[in-house]
Amino acid sequence: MTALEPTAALVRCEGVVKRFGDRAVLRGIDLEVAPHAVVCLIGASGSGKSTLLRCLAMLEELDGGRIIAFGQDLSDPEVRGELLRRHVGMVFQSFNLFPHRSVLDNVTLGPRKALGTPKAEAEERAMTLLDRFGLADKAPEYPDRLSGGQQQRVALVRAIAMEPRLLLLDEITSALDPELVAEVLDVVRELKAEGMTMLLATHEMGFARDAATTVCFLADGEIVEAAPPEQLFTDPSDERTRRFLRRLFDADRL
Amino acid sequence: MRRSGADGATSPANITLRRPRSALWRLAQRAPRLLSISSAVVVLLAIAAVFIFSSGAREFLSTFANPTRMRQAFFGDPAENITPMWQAFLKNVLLFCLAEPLVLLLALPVALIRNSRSPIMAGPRLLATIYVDAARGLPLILVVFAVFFGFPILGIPVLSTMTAFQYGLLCLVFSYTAYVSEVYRAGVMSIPHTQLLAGRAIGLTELQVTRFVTVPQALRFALAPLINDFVSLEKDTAIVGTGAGMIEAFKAASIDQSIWFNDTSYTVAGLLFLAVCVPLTRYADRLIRKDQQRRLAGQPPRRRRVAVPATAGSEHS
Repeated sequence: MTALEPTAALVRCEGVVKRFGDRAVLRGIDLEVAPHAVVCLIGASGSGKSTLLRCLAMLEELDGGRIIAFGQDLSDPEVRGELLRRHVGMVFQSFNLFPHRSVLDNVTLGPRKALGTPKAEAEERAMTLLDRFGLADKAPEYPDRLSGGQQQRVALVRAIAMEPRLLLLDEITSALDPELVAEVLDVVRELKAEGMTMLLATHEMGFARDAATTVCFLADGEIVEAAPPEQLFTDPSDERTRRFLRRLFDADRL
Repeated sequence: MRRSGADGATSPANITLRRPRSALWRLAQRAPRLLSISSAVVVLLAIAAVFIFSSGAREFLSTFANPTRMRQAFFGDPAENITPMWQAFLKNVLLFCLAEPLVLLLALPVALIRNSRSPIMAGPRLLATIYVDAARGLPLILVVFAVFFGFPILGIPVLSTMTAFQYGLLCLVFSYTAYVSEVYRAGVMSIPHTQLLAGRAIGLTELQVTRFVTVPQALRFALAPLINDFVSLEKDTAIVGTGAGMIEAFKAASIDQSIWFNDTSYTVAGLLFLAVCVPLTRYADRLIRKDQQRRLAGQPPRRRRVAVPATAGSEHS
């Protein structure tokens, strides 16, 4: 494989189309995520944010366009989803921890089975990560016993334990009580400080404003506007963006 | 705000929250233990009364619970060449103990094949579907007759020369694997789709998702209905005895009955089955409860403690 230029995007979407039945959820998305970038997808529910993230993780098949990840076209039939997902982590709105496995086993399952890391090494590294995010004492517990915030932090650790090159975060604070949102976003901020490349669908505008390198506003399956947060939030160029932000402002969410 | 008070029917003064309680309710509050004991006594007495006052009670007892016959049936009678019932029953227990693990093992691939979607599995899928339909639809006793009387005639090397015990085992495994595979399948289908997504998201292959995410959770969901089938299997070992050439508890009871013209031997057989099945269900209930408690109320699972590496925490920036 030819070496990529240092500035090349980790992933690039070109005219991505996704339909469910006769409803087009994504209608030609163009998007680039550069290394170390934090790209926030904002927009109303149903605007296609989650679907886009799932397409990027090859959890959905495209109906048009293409996605290039790590310099390879994902529509190549020989490209395997499970190989991509060893390097692209995903965290879900509803945590989706494995209820039959302890926190530690949740975190070590991927490294052990997908990457073949020996058990002892996987557990040691998992404990280091859990400890770092204040979860070391939860290692032997089952997920059902943890608070939502703790569960989501474990889910983040589970994703990070794979040492992904790109992290997809699908509204990871939307299912949390407001007072638990901060503890999860703190983890994301810390990952940003470390240089983790992230693509997030989020409703947390405050977070998008101060943590994103680029904010994309989606409506009706299209990226209406993509800009640095200071520009998008203060001086949006598109009328639809302006209306969306005004509604958020009126609802006291901005 | 305009409506409040305007309508007399819903003004606070007309809302009644009280309704008199019955004397029984008050008794239940004051002496719940007394009430539950009396309730149990009444039910038991009622059953006893129906039995005692029935016209044939005496005859029934001498036919089904004759103490001499009972002893003789249980311990056997060398003079009359009667196999002791407890010995015959060991056959049932052995059948159950051999059939159950085989069923649990074989049902899993059947369930996974039935749940597969890949086109290459269409053949096995068709086969599995036909098998499950046939095995569930056919009464076990017909299967027993077909196997015991049909297989020996077929002239197939191994199948036609098996012992009665092996045929019995075959019938039970054939029939119950189908049931249990459906229990597994229901368990698999009750797992939320998001669990599969989460498994894929950490880089697992489809096969690994099945192995580490789907199957272990499906087994948990399936535990209660599985136990149900266990007990049923234990009882149905009696049906296998209708096949020729094997003396298990039910067959032994029939022979005993045909010698003495007394049905007490059936009672003995029944008691033996109860002696195994009731503890089995009780044990299963405890197992299920403990599993739930462990996950929800939670003692941590038993596992060796993993030490936090010395460097952990210090690299916190």
